[in-house]
Amino acid sequence: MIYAAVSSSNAISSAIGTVFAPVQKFSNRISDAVTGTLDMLFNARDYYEENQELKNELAELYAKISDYTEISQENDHLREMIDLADSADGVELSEPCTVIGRTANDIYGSFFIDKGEKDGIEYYDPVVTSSGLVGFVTEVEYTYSLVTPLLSNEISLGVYCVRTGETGVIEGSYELALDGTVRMVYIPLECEMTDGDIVITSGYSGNVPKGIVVGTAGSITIAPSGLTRVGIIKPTVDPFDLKTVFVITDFDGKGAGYETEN
Amino acid sequence: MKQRINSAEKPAVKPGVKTALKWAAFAILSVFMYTSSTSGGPGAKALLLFPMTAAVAVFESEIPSAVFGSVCGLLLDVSLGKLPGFTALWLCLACAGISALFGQLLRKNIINFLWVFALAGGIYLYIDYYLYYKIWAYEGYRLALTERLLPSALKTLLWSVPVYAAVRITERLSGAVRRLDLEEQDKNIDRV
Repeated sequence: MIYAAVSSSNAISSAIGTVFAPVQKFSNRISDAVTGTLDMLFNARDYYEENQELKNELAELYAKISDYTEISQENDHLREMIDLADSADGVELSEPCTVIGRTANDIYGSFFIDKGEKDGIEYYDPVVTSSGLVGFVTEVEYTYSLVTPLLSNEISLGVYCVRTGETGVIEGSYELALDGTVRMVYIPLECEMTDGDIVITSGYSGNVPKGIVVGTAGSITIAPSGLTRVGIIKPTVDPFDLKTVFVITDFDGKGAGYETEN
Repeated sequence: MKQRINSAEKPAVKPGVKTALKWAAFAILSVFMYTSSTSGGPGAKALLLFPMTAAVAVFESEIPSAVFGSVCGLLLDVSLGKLPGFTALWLCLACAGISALFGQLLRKNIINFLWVFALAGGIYLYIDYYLYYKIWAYEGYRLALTERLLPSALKTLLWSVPVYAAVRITERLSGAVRRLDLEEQDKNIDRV
């Protein structure tokens, strides 16, 4: 039985395998390395050509991805333009304007866009995104313009509440700008406006079309005079987060308001 | 005791080329500093063009300093959204003054640069605050001072040290910084 166990072919081969496995492994490695090196030496030209082909293919794929991203962005912009054009009558929009820089140390977050006089931009043209009104163009150069956001204390704009129809005027201040809000003044004392109500442009000034979303109402209190109420409005667009905007270059009723006539 | 000016050594590159390269370097630095002030999110930013013009004025003569100050001032006016010429005029005068001060009275070192720059910057800060905010008495106008102007001025002052170093290195590489060496005592000179 002992002889059978010792002389079995499995035990012998196992013992030999155990002893020679590391040697085999080592020799195999050397063999692979030599084969690989020789392969590299003899087929270097083929590999080089293959590498060049792959590089070219990769470059083509990158170009396609880049085109795809560009087309996708253009598609998004066009959709946004269609939405905006539907929001008011006879609205004509500029091409998408890229934010190219910001006014240094401005509390209100005014910024420069890459479209100017040559693109049909004019002073006081309203600037919008699909989320709502951003502000107005306050400086126009040949190739770029400066946009002042609604948070600025230089802007006063007639607005009304969509739900209740109550009107008022929004204006900014340094203090409110730090919180990213504006104030809605001259709200009637018996108003029904509450938190979360949407406020849109009245279009009364002739500077901006009627019906563009401005923001949502926050707290509403009685004004110091006691004759009206004052509401805090949170604009729907944060000027510090913008990358692309649109300028409304023309709309029905442009310049026909009381401000532009006088 | 004799003084010897080392700038008499034979230069490897022609002085005209070095001067052109130096101003090219200043122009590139200016553009970089202009873009840094107009990019990024909300909050007070350091206005690096101010220390840049002051540092250049320390090493250059009055006229080039005034011209460089005016150009950088115009860039600052654009980046700050101010009336074009407001900062340019101030920097034109201030840089000519700084240049004259360092040319005639002060030694060119970082300490003198810092206090002169702080003084010139402080005057500009007050003029800016007075003409653009205080005089109009907008609601909460003091917030502009506490939330933007002062933090920006402090950041600018901190950044003025590396900016001064960068300008000094550029000046030294261009061979414009005059170095004086003292020779050993000469026994032939009679001392009283």
